[in-house]
Amino acid sequence: MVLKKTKNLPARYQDLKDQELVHLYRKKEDQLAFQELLNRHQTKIYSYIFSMVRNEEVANDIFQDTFTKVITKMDETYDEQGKWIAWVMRIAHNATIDHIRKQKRFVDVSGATDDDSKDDFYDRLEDESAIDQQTQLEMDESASELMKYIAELPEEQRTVIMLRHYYEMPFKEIAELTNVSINTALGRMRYALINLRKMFEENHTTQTKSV
Amino acid sequence: MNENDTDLIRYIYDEMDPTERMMFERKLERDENLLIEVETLKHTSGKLSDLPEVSPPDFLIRNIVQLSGSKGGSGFSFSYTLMAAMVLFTFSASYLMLDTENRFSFLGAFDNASQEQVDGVAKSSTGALPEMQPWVDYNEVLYLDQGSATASKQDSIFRQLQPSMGPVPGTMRDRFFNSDVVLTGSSN
Repeated sequence: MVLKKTKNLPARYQDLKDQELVHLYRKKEDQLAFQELLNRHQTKIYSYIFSMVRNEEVANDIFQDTFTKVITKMDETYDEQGKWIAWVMRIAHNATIDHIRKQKRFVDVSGATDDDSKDDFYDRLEDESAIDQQTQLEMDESASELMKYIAELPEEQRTVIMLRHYYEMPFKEIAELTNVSINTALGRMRYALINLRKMFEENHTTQTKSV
Repeated sequence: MNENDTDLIRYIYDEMDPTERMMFERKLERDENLLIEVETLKHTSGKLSDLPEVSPPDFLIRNIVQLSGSKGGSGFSFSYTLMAAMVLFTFSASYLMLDTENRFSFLGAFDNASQEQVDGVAKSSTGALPEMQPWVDYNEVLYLDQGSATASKQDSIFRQLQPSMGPVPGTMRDRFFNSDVVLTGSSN
């Protein structure tokens, strides 16, 4: 998919910080302020969700659920002290992980696959069937390959990679978001990079042999 | 996970303060294996910058924008609902206060005449039906002792008193305790 830069909002909104936009939306019900927030963050939030579930329909549902919660719960649960986007990402992350775990349970219970060596949702589910064909076409080859490798990582490592690379989220925030210590978050990142490096090397070796 | 492992990630992702960074770089100069690991992981991390960004479909954004507007709308109606509730509460409270004032002003006016009324009723009731003992509560309201009289006797007393007595106007008792016989005040 192509990144679409939007929308014709007044320039003054683009100069405002997230916190100011949130304030405008909450206190003055300024819908344009909310639209500006959405424009700023929609692609990264959606990319994160999509990269985790790798299914456009599911990603759409989770994205919409996330923003429904954001809109309805903002007055009750967001205190304007912390970063708004960290709060939104927490909602998106929780919704995504909930979905993945539900799917995992479903696959476990249904016994659709009995291969015990595969302990990750993505290992059990056929990746190719999960990815929308149109989406697959739109992704370029190397990016698709990269996504495939990332999909093979354990869920915890994949989460850290995505939060860091899509959102440039500091490890301290990743640790808070995923309810682990900062050292655990750093460790997961290290293992994720090591695992990815191995996958790249294996792929390189296979290609060399086939040539 | 040892300190070097976590420091290595913090170094690659630029999360060290300048002092920590300098110390870690000194460590790298002394430890060739650590240097190789840093370079390898940096290279892998660099590949992740190619991660594709995916935009949500337009219809989804339109739905969300619409929802954000309806939240604003619901906030608007909520504030109006709140205002309406407050106005209703104010009116109810003032009505009740007015009602109470009427009641007490009535009782104030009644104060002077009440003793005569009660005496008169007592006299007439004792004359006609000696076993019926009317009594007066702290609000100076006259009650007939229903326990000691039959229904026919109550009726006859009621008919006897009716020309000179009227129901207490504007009291809560009128509305909520209609089954009681509450007679006081003079229509003359």
